Amino acid sequence: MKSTLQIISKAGQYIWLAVMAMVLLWSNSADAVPSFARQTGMACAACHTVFPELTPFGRQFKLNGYVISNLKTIKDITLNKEDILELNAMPPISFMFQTSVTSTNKALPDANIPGHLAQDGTFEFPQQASIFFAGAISPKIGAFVQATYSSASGTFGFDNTDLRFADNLSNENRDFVYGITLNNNPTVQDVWNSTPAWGFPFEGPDAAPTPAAATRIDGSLAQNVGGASAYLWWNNALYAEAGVYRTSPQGFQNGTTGGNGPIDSSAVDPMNGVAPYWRLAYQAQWDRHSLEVGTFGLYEEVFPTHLNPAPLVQVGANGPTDNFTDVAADAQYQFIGDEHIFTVLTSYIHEDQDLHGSVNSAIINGLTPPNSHDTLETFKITGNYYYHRKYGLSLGYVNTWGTTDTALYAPAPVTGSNNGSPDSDYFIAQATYVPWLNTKFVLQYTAYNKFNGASSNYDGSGRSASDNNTLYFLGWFNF
Amino acid sequence: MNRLFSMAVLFPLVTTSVLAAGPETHENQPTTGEQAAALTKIQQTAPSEEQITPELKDAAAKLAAQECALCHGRSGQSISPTFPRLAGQRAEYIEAQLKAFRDATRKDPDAQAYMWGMASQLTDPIIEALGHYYEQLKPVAPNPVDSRQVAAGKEIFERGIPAQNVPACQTCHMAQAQGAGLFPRLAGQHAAYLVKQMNSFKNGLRVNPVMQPIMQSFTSEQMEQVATYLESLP
Ligand code: HEC
Ligand code: HEC
Repeated sequence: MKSTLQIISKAGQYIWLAVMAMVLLWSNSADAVPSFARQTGMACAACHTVFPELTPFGRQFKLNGYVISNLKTIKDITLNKEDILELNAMPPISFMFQTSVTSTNKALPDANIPGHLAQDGTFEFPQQASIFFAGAISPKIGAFVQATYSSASGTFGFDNTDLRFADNLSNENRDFVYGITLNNNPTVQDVWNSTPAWGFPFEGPDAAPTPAAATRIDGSLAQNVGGASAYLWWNNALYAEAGVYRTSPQGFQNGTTGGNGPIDSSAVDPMNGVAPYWRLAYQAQWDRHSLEVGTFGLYEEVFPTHLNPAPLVQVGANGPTDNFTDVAADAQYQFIGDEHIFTVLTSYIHEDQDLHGSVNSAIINGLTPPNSHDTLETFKITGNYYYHRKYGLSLGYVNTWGTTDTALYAPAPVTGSNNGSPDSDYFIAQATYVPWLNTKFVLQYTAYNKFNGASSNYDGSGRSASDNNTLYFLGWFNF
Repeated sequence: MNRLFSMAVLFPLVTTSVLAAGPETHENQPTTGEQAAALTKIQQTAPSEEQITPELKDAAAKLAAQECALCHGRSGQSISPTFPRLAGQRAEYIEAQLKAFRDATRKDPDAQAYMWGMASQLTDPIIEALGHYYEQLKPVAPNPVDSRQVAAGKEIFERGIPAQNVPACQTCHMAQAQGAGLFPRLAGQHAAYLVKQMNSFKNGLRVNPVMQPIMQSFTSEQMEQVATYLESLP
């Protein structure tokens, strides 16, 4: 009985979401937009070229702590005229719903998904559904908190989160903002889309194979760390930020107790101490153009348990560490016209991997690591064009290459590498249609030239890089 | 002589139009008598700032530097032509526009997208203080431009286009395009912004009984010419 009810209520949820999506598609008002828009009273276009890419004002809004508000507030003051409450009359809640269809050039082998048959063409409804708390908490504190249900993992948990305090000290003679951010993904706090967290592709499949090698700062730490950093934003031109991250895993089960949550250092990939993060960027603006050039990086010491097969052979949180140094350069150019918008995003990430921890304990994949020192490089470049913020075309290229390491990149069907090389390179072509500023449809094609080290038989099981070419369709609704 | 004549003809027109375009309902709406009195000041210099308290002045300066500046630039000198320059703009004109944004009567697309929200919670006193704040800021002198565009634009601005029944812009916007009262300053404004507004008047997106008829017969080329000339003015 209960399960029937559960099924009905679940179906009801989906129907409700689908109806909401329909209403949005055909409704005649464009004011059904997420909470930042509700709070500022501005259309999405004030902050985004096409979401999630930020305009210069969008960057300002974020750096000012998400607090600019044009809503009626509920107030209280003390007898000394000290403000003690300034609460927006409307809670800044909004929703996101993503549904997608993913199809790879060649279906994955059945054996790859134990107990399942490989169906080529994965329909995810939803791929993700999120609730946001995004807006001002008090006059100088604001938050962007995203909690996401992900179909792939079947779990609901914290997604990108950025809580900040910001103070604006600008006057007639200077523009100056400083602040502090608490967040759970290095670069999620950044305001340029040339950095990993909000970079291109802005959306992508979670039901297709992706290359094995990625630098630590390029998504590996997302939602598995917590960090704090302080920043300065001077003269609308110079941005400087420094902070630290510490392992803060989510959805982790304690190995000893079987209960929820890690105890002390029992997490996967625990860091030794904290990982320093830094960011420096310079932005120039003229007429309708803006150009940013910058650099960012992270240094991390990890107790190497990450690639261990179960049962975990742990070095212990006081043993030797693997040390990763990521240093990146990035640049972004934007032209924002009334009709045409054009942006270029590019980054180069260099990673130095000092693997002495793994080498000393010979634990990578149970194999003896051949190298004590690897490097990994990633270069990305994307051009986006939008016409009237409605029709968009994007072309991106990603190239990753580095030291051959037969322990790190070992043969395995689909996901492995036959020759131990991390090299992959691919193009992403994308058409975007934005019928309403809060609704986006994406048709994306990813074409691999090289995947995990080779173009053909890259995995040692006869799969070609182009077998992983992926066609992806996404419907994205924000309300 | 000619100019006096057109003033005499146009003034009642402007008066009625401004009244007609005024806010429909608002708590602090001035009475029609007050509005009429304010309108008689159109041809005079800016009204005195005596009523604006020091606290309001500070609040306006702070708001301008910390929020308005994010789009309109520090000291009202915006960078992108999406955002109009406000330095030196007429106080009364700014007030009228902020009220028109607040009351959702200025409806051109970017007005809705950006300024309806920004102006929604502004009170009449802070609007007045903001107007005075921007009026006293010195506009930055542009680099002088000398081109055929500019010469053609100057001709239109100073003499109108008699063949199309377009009056000389300077009759209302003043000889140096410095504006007066409810007639906006156009000198030094972003050309692309001016063209966008002229188009909005022409196609009715921005409702104004004075400017709409003037723009009806304007061609895109003439808009470009006059806007290029105006942006080149200090
Ligand atoms: C998010 C960007 C943004 C912010 C912040 C902003 N504005 Fe604007 N403002 C605009 C845009 C865009 C326009 C042009 C609208 C149009 O094209 O009709 C405009 C137009 C105006 C105009 C009309 C100018 C004219 O020549 O007609 C005034 C006055 C104005 N803003 C005042 C303000 C004040 C005062 C503030 C601060 C309280 C402010 N703005 C904050 C974007 C902004
Ligand atoms: C009869 C008086 C009059 C004449 C003549 C006139 N204007 Fe205007 N103009 C106005 C008024 C009044 C406004 C303000 C409209 C409003 O409040 O929305 C205005 C506004 C404008 C604006 C918008 C400015 C802004 O900051 O948004 C532009 C551009 C403009 N006029 C251009 C011209 C040009 C070009 C000419 C000559 C071809 C011209 N005007 C002639 C009265 C006049």
